[in-house]
Amino acid sequence: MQKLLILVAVIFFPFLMLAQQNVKYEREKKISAEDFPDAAMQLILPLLENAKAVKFYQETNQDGINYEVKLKYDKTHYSIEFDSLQRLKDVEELLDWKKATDIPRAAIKRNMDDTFRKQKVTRIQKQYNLKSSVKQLQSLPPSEDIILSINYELEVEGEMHRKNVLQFYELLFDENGELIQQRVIQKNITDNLIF
Amino acid sequence: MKRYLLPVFVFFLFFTSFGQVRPVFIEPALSVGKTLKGRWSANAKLVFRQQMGLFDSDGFTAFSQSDILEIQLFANYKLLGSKQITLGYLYGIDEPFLDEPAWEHRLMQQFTFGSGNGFKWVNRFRLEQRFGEENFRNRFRYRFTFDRPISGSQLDSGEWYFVAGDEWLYTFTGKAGEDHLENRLNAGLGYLFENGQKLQFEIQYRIIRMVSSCASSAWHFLVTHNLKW
Repeated sequence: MQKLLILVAVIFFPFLMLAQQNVKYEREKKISAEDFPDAAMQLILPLLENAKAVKFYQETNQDGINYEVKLKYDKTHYSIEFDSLQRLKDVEELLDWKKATDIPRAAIKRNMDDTFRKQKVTRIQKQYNLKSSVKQLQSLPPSEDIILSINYELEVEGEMHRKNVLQFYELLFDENGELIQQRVIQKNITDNLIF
Repeated sequence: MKRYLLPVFVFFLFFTSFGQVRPVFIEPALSVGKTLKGRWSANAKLVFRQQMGLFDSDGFTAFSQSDILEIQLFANYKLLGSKQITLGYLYGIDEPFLDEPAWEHRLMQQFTFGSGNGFKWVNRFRLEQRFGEENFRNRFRYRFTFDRPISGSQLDSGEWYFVAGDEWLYTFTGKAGEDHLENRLNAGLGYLFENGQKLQFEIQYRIIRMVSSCASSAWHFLVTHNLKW
């Protein structure tokens, strides 16, 4: 019996892991500037002079605890994320899906059409992955010489082929518009607003 | 927190400044949602309204009296773009613990659309056909509601949120002098539990039969528990 259980666990464990990875889990807590890690603060110090609506967050997700700054710089919304070791993870720039021109729109659209029967983009962010050698961010968007790669993170409401279920997904595309990651976003109930 | 409490305080001050005694109701409700196959979902809501502190021309008559008991059932179909169409039925009993309570059957057709990350908002349009024992009334309702986390840019479990909304209700019967307009303004706080349930406390101010000589108003304290089954 014990051997059978181990066998079942071994067979199903990878599938369980896969299922867990496909769901986005993220918990965000607003913190004060004083509670924001010093090393991370030093990295963004030059930006804060010209930034507006600066807010600091502690974020818990599958990878552990991260830190995030959200701000408005030169009329554009950015979020700058740091890992638990206060290393710069990425910078995300909020774009307008309908207006954005410098995105691989055709490739992204083709990939989404392959996955979904119907879809609507509700949010898009340009994700700048920066070189680990970056000591301080001087301006936003980051300058070309410190960018390692660019991704596009989309939040999409969609209905997959052969599935009559509408759900929200987070899709990550590389700079050529090829799909890297797809996760389901668990939304809170909105019955309190509807009924 | 302070910036959310301020509008609630101003809201109170504005309406209480009329200086009249208005009826006060307490309205606990339980709302249960269930995801069905495909794009379908269902909701059931149980509402029990109690009037507090009853007065007549001779003064105080009773501490409280049950006012309304309602059972609401909804079938919902999701559309792309955070839209939803809903058909609903309501069975209501007026003053349910009296010897001969009055009943009402109500049919509802509803369209909602909303959006938002963090600041979530919903527009609701509803048509109602209300069948009473002795009368029939149509009602059109439009409501705008939003909620916003008190802390952070997205609402996580174990956190409080601010909720507010305004609703316009127009009753039309086809009979002269019986049509009337009502407004319901509400604000409050809610809590999102770890299991995804929401508990919401709201203060609602109703102005009934607006733009008429017999306009009246009332306070409602709403406590709603929203859960998924």
